[in-house]
Amino acid sequence: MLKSENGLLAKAWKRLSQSVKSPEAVHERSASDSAVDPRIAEQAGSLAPIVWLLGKVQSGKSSIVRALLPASEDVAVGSGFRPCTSSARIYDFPVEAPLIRFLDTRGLGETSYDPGEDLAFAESHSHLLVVVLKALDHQQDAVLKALVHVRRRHGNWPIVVAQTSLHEAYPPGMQHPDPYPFVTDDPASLASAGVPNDLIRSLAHQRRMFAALPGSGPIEFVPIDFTRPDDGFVPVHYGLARFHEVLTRVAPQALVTALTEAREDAGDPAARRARPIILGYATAAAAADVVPVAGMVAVPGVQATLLHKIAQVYDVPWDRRTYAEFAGALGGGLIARYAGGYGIRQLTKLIPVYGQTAGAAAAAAMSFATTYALGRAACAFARRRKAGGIEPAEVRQAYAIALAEALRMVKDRNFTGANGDAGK
Amino acid sequence: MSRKTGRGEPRGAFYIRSAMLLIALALPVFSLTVLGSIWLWQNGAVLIWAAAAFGVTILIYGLERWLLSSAMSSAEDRSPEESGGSEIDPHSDADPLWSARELEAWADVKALAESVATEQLTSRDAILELGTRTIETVARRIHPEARDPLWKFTVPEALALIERVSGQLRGFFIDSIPYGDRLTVAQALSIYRWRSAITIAEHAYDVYRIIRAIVNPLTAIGGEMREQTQRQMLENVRSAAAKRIANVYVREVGRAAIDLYSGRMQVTEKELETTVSAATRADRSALPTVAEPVRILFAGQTGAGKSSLVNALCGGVRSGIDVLPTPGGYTFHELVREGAPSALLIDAPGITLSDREITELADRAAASDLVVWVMAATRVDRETDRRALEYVRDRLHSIQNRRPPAIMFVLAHVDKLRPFKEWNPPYDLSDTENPKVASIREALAAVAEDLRTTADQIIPVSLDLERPYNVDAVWGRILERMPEAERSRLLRCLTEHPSERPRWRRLWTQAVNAGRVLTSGKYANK
Repeated sequence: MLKSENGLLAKAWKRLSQSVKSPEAVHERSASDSAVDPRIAEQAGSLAPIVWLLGKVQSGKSSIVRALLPASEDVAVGSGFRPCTSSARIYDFPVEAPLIRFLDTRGLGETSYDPGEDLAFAESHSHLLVVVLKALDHQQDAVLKALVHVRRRHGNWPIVVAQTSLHEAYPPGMQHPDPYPFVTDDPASLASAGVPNDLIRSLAHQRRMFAALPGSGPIEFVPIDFTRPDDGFVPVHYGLARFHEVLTRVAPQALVTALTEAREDAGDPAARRARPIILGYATAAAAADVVPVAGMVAVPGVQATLLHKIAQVYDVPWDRRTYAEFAGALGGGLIARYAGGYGIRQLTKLIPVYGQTAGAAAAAAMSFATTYALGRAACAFARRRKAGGIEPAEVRQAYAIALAEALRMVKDRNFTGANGDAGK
Repeated sequence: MSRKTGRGEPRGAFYIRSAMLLIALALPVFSLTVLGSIWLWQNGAVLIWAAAAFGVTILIYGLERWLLSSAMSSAEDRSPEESGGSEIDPHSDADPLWSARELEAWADVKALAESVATEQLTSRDAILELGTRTIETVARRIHPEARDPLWKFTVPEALALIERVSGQLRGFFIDSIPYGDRLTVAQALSIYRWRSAITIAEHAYDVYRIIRAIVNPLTAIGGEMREQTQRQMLENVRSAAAKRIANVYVREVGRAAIDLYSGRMQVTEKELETTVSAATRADRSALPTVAEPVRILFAGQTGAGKSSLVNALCGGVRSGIDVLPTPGGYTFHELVREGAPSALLIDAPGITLSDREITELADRAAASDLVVWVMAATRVDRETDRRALEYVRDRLHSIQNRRPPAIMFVLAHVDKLRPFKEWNPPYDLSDTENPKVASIREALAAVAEDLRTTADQIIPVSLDLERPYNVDAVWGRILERMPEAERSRLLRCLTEHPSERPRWRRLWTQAVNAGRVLTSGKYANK
């Protein structure tokens, strides 16, 4: 039993040292420095959960993406979308190795929309349906038609309905009601909280439109208003806390975890930018063990690309000498000890029964954890390096902490579930 | 001790330096005048030059006179059409409801208006005196038997009169006097004060004329003739404007005075009530078949603001406005006025792309006199609008036996555009600094592109219940786009007083002049 664990660890360690030391990888990568490797992106994408946004043009879908991913603020989300199916576009976050993906149905309500193709695309991933409506827009026939189609096939899929642009119902000069009153839909208490009567009735009318949907999955309504800072509404992301709360309650665990991971704050700006990238590449590495994809990039390749990406984020030159320094700072023996002690105990808890699937899952978990830890260690290294020094102890500590963190995350991500039932 | 230490210099030196600089700049230019004159004199061409300059001035003067008089006469031609419409008898711009005696009074007023000596209208008292004289003329004509005809009215009637004349004059100033809507009274006064400076300049010029005559008598004669002609030209323009203002003033005062002494002012309040209560919902089948009503169709998507617009146009009618879609099909709002044919504002159900409903919409549009297409500025799902509109346009183009109804566009809820917190109407759409204006213009351009029209065809409005904005511009545009016959009928529905009709007719011009709608040159001139 211990032997097989050791075998697994040994394999992981071999990959790690390969990726750190292998000079070929360096040359191969440096050729396409800033370019995104589509194979790695696809690999990560095969495990990344999908948020399926269903709503008319300019109903506020992009601002929901922005609000859910604070790390994406400097990305123009609108233009980050690219065509995916014939009727939908997709936004991968981060784009080089998606940790989470947003599927946006284009032109809904303008052409006769057939959700079949998008449904097939989303079905194969862990996902959540988020319906986006402007609170005062009652012309939602196309959206409802698509939802009926989806729920006929998957009656148990949960739906979160975001009712946006609340301010359009406000009289001039009105601010958002504070505290957020929409935790209830009781008209009397909403009215006493200062919500305009038209808005209360409009929201209730939209709720009624969903009452006739087939299926038994939960349908949650969240009135929100995500505005721009210069619009003058406080807070800018009105109802975001409630939105998170509802997502946590009804969304699949993998999605909740991915969202939480992407949101976690990580100190300096570079680290904040690097964090989702590291998570995405770690996902891609995990996919190498569980998902059969043509032209798979093996774990060392993924990790080598990740190191490059981090060097870019920190604006540190990454050459053979730097590699050697980083490898030296990590120090082989120490990692083996960490992996052997703490890591194995965690792994034993994680995988109660060994079998073919469990073996694959364990390998995926290990790949995820080591890639994540390697990325975090590289961050620590690059930060020091930029300041001009090297602090091996700090790099090692970062690796150890990150490894423990990653193993905790792995439990929730449930990588083998990717192809199975997406409901949970 | 105004001297400053270091690099400071005495103030006097500064002035001297400035003066020298000025001389250095001006001398080369002005010397040309002198040198040119000498050259003309040496070459014996002074006479030829003087004759040519005089000839050009005479020519321009002639042209100016001719243009001015034709502009005056075209203004005269226009006024009957403006205030009456085609259905009115040869008594130009008179009210068809006036009795024979009132028509006589009107003739007196017009004679007075023509005979006003504008040179005398130089003071406030003179203007007031002219107004009093007008009123007196009317009073004597209408109440010849009364001992003191001037006081044959009640106080509310007098107040209503003041209100009406003010309203009419305001429209005239905004429409017809250059910068009439911008120039403040203070500015006008300061211009008046500057006259004395002009007098001084004139005296100085007189001295120059004498010197000129001594130095070169021949040139002086030519110059003198030219200047006299130019002066006459300016005088003509000035007196033409003064004459027009005086003319309008007398006519408006006279028109109001006729209404005042004939007792028509008394119905003002009652009239307001009937407009409001008369707007009722009625099905088409229930309508009287005596006269075909004027029909205006309002189309647009659910929630775009059709019902709110119709209600705002009806004014004060508060029932039936809802943020929820109106259940059922077409809703009719009828404007009824006793003895006048009615107008129907038809509120169509929200557009869908189902064949049956879109065919019905096109049929209704074809049976209307005007189609008003309403969109919400806050929504961009205009593909439905585009398709439905395409279908309706095709249907309207296929009408052979009469002029197809025009389609006009209204963009509702512009108050909800960015910046969200700002709403301080009115907005001048030519203002390039204001971010709200920028948003409105952007929205207009986007809608225009989606619907294959131009931005100046779309009227931006706000339909807030408490403070609707620019709805009068919609009325103005409706009246402007209506076929002539229907326009007269609609005007008769809108107001019982023919004298108020010019006010309605001016709504569009006012909106254009205030910049509340976008205009291409075509509409600004119309």
